[in-house]
Amino acid sequence: MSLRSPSPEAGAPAASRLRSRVAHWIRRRQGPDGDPVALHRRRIYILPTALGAGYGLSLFGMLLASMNYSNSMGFALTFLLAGLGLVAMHWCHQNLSGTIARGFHLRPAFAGQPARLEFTLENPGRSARLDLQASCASASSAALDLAPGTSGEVHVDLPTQRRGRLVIDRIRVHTSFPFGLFRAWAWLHPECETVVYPAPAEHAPPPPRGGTEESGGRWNEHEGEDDFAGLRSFRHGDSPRRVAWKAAARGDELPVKLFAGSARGSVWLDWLSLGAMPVEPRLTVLCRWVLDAHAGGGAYGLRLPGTEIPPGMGPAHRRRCLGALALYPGGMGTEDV
Amino acid sequence: MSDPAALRLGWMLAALGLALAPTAPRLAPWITATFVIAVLWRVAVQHFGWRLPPGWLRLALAFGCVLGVLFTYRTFNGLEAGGALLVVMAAMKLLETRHRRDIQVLSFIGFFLVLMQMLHDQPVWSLPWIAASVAAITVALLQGVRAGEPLPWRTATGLVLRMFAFAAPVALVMFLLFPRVPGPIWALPARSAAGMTGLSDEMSPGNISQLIQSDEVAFRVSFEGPIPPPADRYWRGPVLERFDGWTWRDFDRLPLLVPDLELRGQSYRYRIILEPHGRPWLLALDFPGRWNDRDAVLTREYQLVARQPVDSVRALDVESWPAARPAATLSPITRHRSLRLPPDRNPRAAALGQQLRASSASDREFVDAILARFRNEPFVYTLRPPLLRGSDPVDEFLFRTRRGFCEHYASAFAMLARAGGVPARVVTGYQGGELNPLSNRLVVRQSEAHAWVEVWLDATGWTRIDPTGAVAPERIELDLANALPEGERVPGGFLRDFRGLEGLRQGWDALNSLWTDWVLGYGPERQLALLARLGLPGADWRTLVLGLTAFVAAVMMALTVWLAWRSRTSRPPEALRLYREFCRRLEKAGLSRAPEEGPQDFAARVARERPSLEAEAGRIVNLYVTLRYAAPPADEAVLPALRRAVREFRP
Repeated sequence: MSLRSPSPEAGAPAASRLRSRVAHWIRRRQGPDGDPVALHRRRIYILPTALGAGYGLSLFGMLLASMNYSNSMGFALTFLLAGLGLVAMHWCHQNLSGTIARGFHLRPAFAGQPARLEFTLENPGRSARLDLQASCASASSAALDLAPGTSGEVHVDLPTQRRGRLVIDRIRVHTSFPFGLFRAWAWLHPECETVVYPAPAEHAPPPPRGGTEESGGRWNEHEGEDDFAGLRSFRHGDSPRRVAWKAAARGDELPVKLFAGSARGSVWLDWLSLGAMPVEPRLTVLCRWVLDAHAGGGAYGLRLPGTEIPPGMGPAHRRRCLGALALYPGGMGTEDV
Repeated sequence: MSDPAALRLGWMLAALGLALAPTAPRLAPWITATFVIAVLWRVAVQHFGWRLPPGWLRLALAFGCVLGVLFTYRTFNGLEAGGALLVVMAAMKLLETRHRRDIQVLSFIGFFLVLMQMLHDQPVWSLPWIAASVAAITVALLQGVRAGEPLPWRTATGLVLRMFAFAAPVALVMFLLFPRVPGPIWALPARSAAGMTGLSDEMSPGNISQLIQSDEVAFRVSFEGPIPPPADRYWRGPVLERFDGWTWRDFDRLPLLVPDLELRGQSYRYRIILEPHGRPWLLALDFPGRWNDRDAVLTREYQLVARQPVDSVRALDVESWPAARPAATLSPITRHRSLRLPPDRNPRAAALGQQLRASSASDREFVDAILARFRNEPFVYTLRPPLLRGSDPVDEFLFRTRRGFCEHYASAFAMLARAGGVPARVVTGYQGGELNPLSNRLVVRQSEAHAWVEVWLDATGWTRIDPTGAVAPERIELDLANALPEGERVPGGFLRDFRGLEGLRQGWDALNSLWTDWVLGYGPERQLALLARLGLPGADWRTLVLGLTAFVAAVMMALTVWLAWRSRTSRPPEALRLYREFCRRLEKAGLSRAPEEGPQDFAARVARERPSLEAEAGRIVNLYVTLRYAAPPADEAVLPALRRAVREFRP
C-alpha cells in the first residue's frame, strides 16, 4: 500500500520506480478495464517461480549425472521431467487464460480493519481451473477451484490503516497450478474504490447533551441500567463497554445493550462540542457517536466544519455520515492499493 | 486423515518410500533406519500434534548424519556415498517439513532417489516400479503444492497421467536426439567391479566354475546375416600369459599398432550389447577385424578392450573373421613369455610335457598327443571338481583327481605345451550362446564362461586348442547342460528343464534384449546410426540441437493449440442456437426481436404483426420454451422436432 503523492517516482528506490513504470506500461497497454474483464492470452504473464528455477537446476544436475555415468535411463528420466516442466508451463498459462472476472466491489471499512474486495471469477471453459488466487497489494484471497462452466466468489481482505479514500490500483489474478513451478498472472484495473472510515474511538467521551436542536444533540439522557431497552447483536465499531457480557456467556453471539431514550427526538453530533481535541481523535469520537446513534435507532445529524448533514436515520444516512468523517480534509488522503 | 496437511504429507511419504525401496538394501542399514525413524517421527508430529524438533537438534542430527556417511563410506563421492547422503538429506528435510516449499524440495529429492536407483541398475522389470515411483512423486508434488484442499486421488492421478502423456513425446525425442557425449565428464570413482559378475584378469582353479554358477546375462549379440555355428562361437576375453604354477594372469594390454591379422574366409557382422561388468573386455568373436567404437582398441593378443571399464550397458558393432590367420612370426619377447614356467612347480607335469614332445614328430603331433591323453585317460568334465590345494595343482589334477572344469583342462594343457617347448597361452572368454528365436539374438550368459588355449605352431601361427572339447565335446557343440555328467545341472538354469516355460523365458529374454539394446545401450554410436537411418548421415551436434529445438517447439505449439481448444468456451445449447436461427430468419423478414423481449412476448408480437406466421412461430417458441425451461427436462423427441420446425420455417 502506498500513498499517492503528486509524483510517485520521486525519491523512491530504483526497484520500486521500475515496478511502477512497468505497472503504468501494463495499464497503458491493456487500456481501461470494464466489468466484466476476460483474461485473454495477451494479458497473461508467466514466469518460473524460484521453485521452478530450483527444478531446472535439479534437472541440470540429473542431466550431468546421466552424462557422467552414460546412463540412458537417467537421460530418459531427465527428459521426461523436462517435458513435464514444459507441459506444466502450458497448463499453468491455460489455467488462467480465458477466465472472466466481473462484479468488482470494495466494501467500506473502519481504519485498522480490513476492507473487503469482492468479485466473481467465472470459468467459461470446458476444463476445470484450479488454484486461482487473487491478490491486491500484500493481501491474497483463498484459492479457488472452478469446475467447467461455473463461477466463484473471490474476496481479498485489504488491510487499512488510515481513514480516507481507498482506491484499488490493480488486482492480480494468479495461479501456480499445477506444480508451483511457474506462476501465471494477469493484472486487472477495475474502477473500484471505497472509503475507510475513522476507527471508532474505544473510550469516547459522553455525547453532547441537550434535548433540542438549538442546544445541541443529546440522547441517552441517563446512561445506565434504567434506560436499558434491549439487546441486539454486535456490529463492527461497537464499544466493548456496551457488550452485555452476562448475556454473552449464555449464547454464542455477542449481545450489545441498547438504551432507551434513543428514539427521543434527534441529536446533533457536533465537531465543536469536542472542544480542543486534535483532528484525528476527534473524528474517531465522532465516528463512535455516529455508530452509537445509529444503533440507538434515533435520528441524528452531523456537523463538521464546512459540512452539515441534517438529521436522518437508516443505513444510507449512517454511510453518509461516516463517509463525511472519512473524507474530512486534513486527513491522510487517498490510499492506493 | 482428512486433515489436508496430513494428507499432503501422507502422499509425499508414500511416494518417497516407493522411490527409496529398491535402493534401500544397498545402503548401510543405519541410513535406511534413519530414514524410517524420521518418517515415524514426522508422522507422530502430525498425528499427536507434537512440535517439530527445534533447529539446534535438527542441525546436530544433520551434522551427525553427514559424519556418519563419511565414516561409513570414507568419501562423499561416488554413487554409494552420494546416495546415502541423499537419503539422510531426505530424512532431515522431513523433520522440518511444514510448508509447501518443503514438500516441493522433498519431491526433488525423490526424483534424485529414482535416478540413483537407475544409476545402479536398470533391468526391464524395474520399469513399472520406476514409472510408479515417478508418478507417485509427481502426484505428491501436485497435492503438496496445491493451494486448496488436496484433490481426490483419482483426479490428481488422472491429471498427472495426462501431463505425462504430453511430456512423453518430448522426452522420447529428446532422448533420441539430445547430443550424447561419450565418456564421463568428471572422474568419479568407478563402480567397483567387485559387485559385478564377469571375467577377471586372472584364472586359477575354481574361478570360472564359480562364475558359471550365475545365470546372469553377460552380453547379447544380434547378427547381421548368418550366425556362426556353436563351435565357432568363441568370445574372446582376457588372454593370460603369466603362470606361477597356480594362477594365470595377463601381462599388459598393449595395442596392436601394426595390424597383423590376415582377414580371410567368411566374416560375421554383429552388434554386442554388453551388460556392465566393470572391466574393459569387449568380448568380440574371434577375430575382430573391424569395429565402430572409437573407444575400443585391439591388443596384441587380439582382445578388443575399451579404454574405460564397462560400467554401463554398452553397445558396439564388430565384424569378425573366425578363419583369420594371425601373425606369421612370433616376436622373441612373446615367445619367451609364452614358454616361461615356474621352475620348481608341477614337476611331474613338466616331465610329462617334455616326454610327450620327445615322442612326437612335430609340434602339431605333440599337441594332438596331449589331447589324446585327455581323451583316453579317465578324465571327467565336472562343475564340482575336488579342491586342489597343493603347490602343484597341475600335477594333482593330471595324475590324481582327473576331474575338472574348463579352467583345469586349459591350465594343464598350456602347462604341458610350454613344458614341451611349444609357446602357449590361456584365453578366457565365453563359448557358445543361446539363440533366442523371438529376438533372433544370441544371449550369452555368465554360465557360458570358458577357458581355452592358444599354441604357437609354425605353420598356422597362434592356433586355438580347446582341451575341454577333447574331454566333453558336447560342451563345445551344444552347451554346458549337455556336457555335464548325469546328476549335475547348470545352476540357476532350472527354467530350461520345463518345456512349457521355455517360450515364456525366451519371450522375456527377447523383451529384455530389446530394452537393453534400444534403451540402455542407446549411446553416441547408436544415435549416429539412427540419424544415418533417418537420412542424416554424419550429423553433428549442431544438427541435433537444431532438430531438437524444432521438434520441441512443434510439440509446444501442438500443446498450446490443444489446450486452447480444450478450454474454449462452452458452446450454447443447441436449442438456443436453433432459437437464434429462428430469430435471424424473422429479422430477415423484417421482424427483429427487441433485446428485452422474451420468447413468448416475441411470439405474441409476431402473431400480432404477421398473423400468417402465428401458428408456426407459436409452435417453435413452445418447443424452445419446453426444451429450455420445462421443469422435468423435455423428452428426447422435442429437440429434433424443434430442429425440423426451424429448418422448415420460411417467414
